Amino acid sequence: MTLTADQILALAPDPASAKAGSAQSSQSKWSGLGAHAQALWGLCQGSGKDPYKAQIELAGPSFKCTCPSRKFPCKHGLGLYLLYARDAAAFGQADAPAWVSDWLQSREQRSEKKAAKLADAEAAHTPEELAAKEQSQQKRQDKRQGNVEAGLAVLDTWLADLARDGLAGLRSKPAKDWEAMAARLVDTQAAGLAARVRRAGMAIYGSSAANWEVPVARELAQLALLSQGYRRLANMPAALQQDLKAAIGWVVGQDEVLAEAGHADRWLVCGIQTQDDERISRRACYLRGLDSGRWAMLLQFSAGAQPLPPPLLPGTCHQGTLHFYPGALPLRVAFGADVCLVPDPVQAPPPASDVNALLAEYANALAVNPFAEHYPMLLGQVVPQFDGAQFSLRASDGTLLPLLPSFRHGWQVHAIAGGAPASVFGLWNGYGLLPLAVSAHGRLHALDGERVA
Amino acid sequence: MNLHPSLHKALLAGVARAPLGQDSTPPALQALLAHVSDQARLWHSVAAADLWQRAGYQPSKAAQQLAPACDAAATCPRAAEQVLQLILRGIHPELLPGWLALAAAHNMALPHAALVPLIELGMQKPALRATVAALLGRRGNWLVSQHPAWSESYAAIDDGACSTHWQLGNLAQRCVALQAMRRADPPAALAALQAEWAQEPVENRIALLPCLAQGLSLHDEAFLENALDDKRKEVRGAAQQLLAGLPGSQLAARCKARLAALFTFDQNAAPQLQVALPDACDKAMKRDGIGSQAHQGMGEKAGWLLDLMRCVPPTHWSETWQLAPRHVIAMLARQEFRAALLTGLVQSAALAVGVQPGAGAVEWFVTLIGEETSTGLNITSMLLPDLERLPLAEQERIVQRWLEQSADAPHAYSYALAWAERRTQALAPSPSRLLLAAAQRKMAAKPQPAYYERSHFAALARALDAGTLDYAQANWPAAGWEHWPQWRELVDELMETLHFRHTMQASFLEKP
Repeated sequence: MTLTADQILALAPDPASAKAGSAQSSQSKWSGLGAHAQALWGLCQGSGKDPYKAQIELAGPSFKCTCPSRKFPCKHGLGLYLLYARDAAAFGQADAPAWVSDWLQSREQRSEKKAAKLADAEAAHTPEELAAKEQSQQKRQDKRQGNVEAGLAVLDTWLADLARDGLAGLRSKPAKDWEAMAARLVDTQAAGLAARVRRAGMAIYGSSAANWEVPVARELAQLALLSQGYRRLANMPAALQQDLKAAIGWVVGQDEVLAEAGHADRWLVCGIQTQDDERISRRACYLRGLDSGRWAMLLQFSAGAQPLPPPLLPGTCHQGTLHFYPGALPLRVAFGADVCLVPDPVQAPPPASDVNALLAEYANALAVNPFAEHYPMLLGQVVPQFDGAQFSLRASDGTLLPLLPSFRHGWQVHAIAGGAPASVFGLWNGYGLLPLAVSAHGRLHALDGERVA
Repeated sequence: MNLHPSLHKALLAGVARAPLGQDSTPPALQALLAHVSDQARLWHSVAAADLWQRAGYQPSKAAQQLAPACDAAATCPRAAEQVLQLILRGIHPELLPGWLALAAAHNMALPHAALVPLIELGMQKPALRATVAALLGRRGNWLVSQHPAWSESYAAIDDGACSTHWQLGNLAQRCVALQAMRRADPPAALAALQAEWAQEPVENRIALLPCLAQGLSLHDEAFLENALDDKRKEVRGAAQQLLAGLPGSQLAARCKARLAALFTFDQNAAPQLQVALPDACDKAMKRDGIGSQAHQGMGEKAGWLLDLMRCVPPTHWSETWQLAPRHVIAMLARQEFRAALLTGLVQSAALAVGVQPGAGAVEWFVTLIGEETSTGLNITSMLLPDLERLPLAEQERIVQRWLEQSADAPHAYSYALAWAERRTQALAPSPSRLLLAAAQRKMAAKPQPAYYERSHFAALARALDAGTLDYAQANWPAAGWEHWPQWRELVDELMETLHFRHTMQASFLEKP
């Protein structure tokens, strides 16, 4: 499957690159265009003396260009792909020049090397080295544990103070108290809790909505639950321990995850959600295994003003092995080296339309991991409807599922469905659904639009 | 999330002031939380209630019948939709009006996924709203009818709601309604305005009166004559403006008589004209708008002369003196007060093409706009904004003439470009060729682009015909031209936009 122009532009790191990329997509700028089953390539005359060599490996898709731009993919890569999408016949050559085949080869070698290195890492060390490594790791862990415990003690005191004084007077107190608490938690290596404290602070000072105390109380209650849970970590099932530690801020390294056995399937990208914080941008891409029906989530991050890496495109399908991060309810994944874009459009099974079964699935998920906030939900045959105040989805048996009040594209969903049954993918948090994609008449419309809520 | 009232109270007031009651949590939970402190119990109770409610969410059942769905009527082809998505993403956003015009020309409705962004855009930009409203299609109208704010704004354009809006709408809606009523039935619309006129506040009068320009005829004259006696200057000015452009109006007749008293015309082999300045501006003249504004660089009396000339259609002079327009112009150009006389003449020629221009009015306009600099005034640029009121064929002929002589007339190219820029539709193939050739000639003679060249090229990119692009590939300087580095970027941008427009036009021809 070749991507459409719109999908290609969705890979651009920012709107300016998308615009520049589309300006590069005229044939007059290119020479030596060629394509075969794995890759596209071409020469683009830029401002330099020698033309830039741009190439794309279709399976990723991955881009490479010799231009000095720090954007990725750069405008030449985007332009080349756009030109291919519009006019594949112009890519006359089928024999890859050396610079293309070398690159493809080196990519292959690199992934092989990586796998080999992982395997070597286990075997290459002598028992003494391993013991020493383990010891230093243990030392680090102990230190961190001490740090986190100190942070949690402060957090507990702070929560007790809040409980004693109540939330009613919070808005007249300075917002920087919350920032200070969050900073304190970051210092004690509990970044996950810090993010929650910031979010609660935002709910207090960042909105003028009535009933603001309820979401704040939920957030604080979760903090208390996590803090209490950590004290009893040893009594918990091993998998749930991982979830709790992840919620507090422990990060499992990707290499560790990749070392575990993976799960092979064809993975359909159902929707993506982008969230910008002032420090970190975060994008979650949700995938569903077509054969297993399993949910998976790929997280992408970027720091500061850097653009996020290119997203997975909703509606595309990737084949290969995904490695799940450990947890009671494994969702987050790392991509195995063998994952590649499925070239042909796939026939996805029709989504479930029994709302009660889906709600039960969510209840089960909460039973397994009570720290989970939301869970993917794919609803078939639902009609979006507007009752004058808020949108909801109506199943064929008349059951109503509300959309979250913070969801901004209710009218867009309504326009696409037109009052007829459609499939909606979203995240259910127990109170409302945050739609991330809607399909009607055989077409998938992603609702990412940089932050849906 | 629902909290038990006593839990909610404790949450807001603090457990120190509002201790957690026995009833705030279920007994089973109470037993579990018996040993924890009061403060911690508050948070644990909230957490438990939260989990409990999320896991046990009970969906409600719809009370009403399902409203009938809106059928999926055909919209534009997929290819055209993809082009629109690119435009909405910020790739060539300046071509949005072009896309909408093409959709209207092909009689195709907006794609469903683009409805909401375009409706929202129309809410922000009233100028775009009418265009969007025409393309909503069945799905769009269905959607708009359910949204309170949209239905109010988008219904304003609907002719059916005219009389409601005329009676109950805000001022902007009433203006639109009045114009729509004028289009349908001018005398009835005039009667409606007349009935309300006495009660209208001044601001409404000022805004509503110019709406009569739509379908203006002698039938409106009596009403406008009355408006000349209005208390407010702005209302009087609007009425004067309308009457001055109305063929056969009494205001024109009065000004003709005043000018006849000042002009001494000598009809012999070489016609001679003597012009005296008006001595005074009496009450009747003031009522007709003479001397209502100062004219820069002109004496007071010369200004009166200008105002008088402005109110007399130019055909009057060619008929009275039995002279061709260019002879009249030449004669006026010999006068001492030629600036006042000619400026007034030019303004009246512009007014004369406003309302159903006759052949005479068009001839005058064409002669004046083609007048060379011999008069000492830049008549062409004075008339340029009104050029679009002429029949299209006439406009194209004028522009064609400019472009043909653009090699030696320095401003002809910029006039043609300014005209092309104001048009909403793309040019026909032959003016496109000429315009591009003129641009290429100008470019070849310059070592590097001037600061304004970027906007010129952008205007070209929007205006040139994009049906075929063969002509646009040709006649550029050879690849080895020494000044290419300075020009390359501009030319590339132009070609890229033309290609985009070419794709856009072709996309509407694909099968939906």
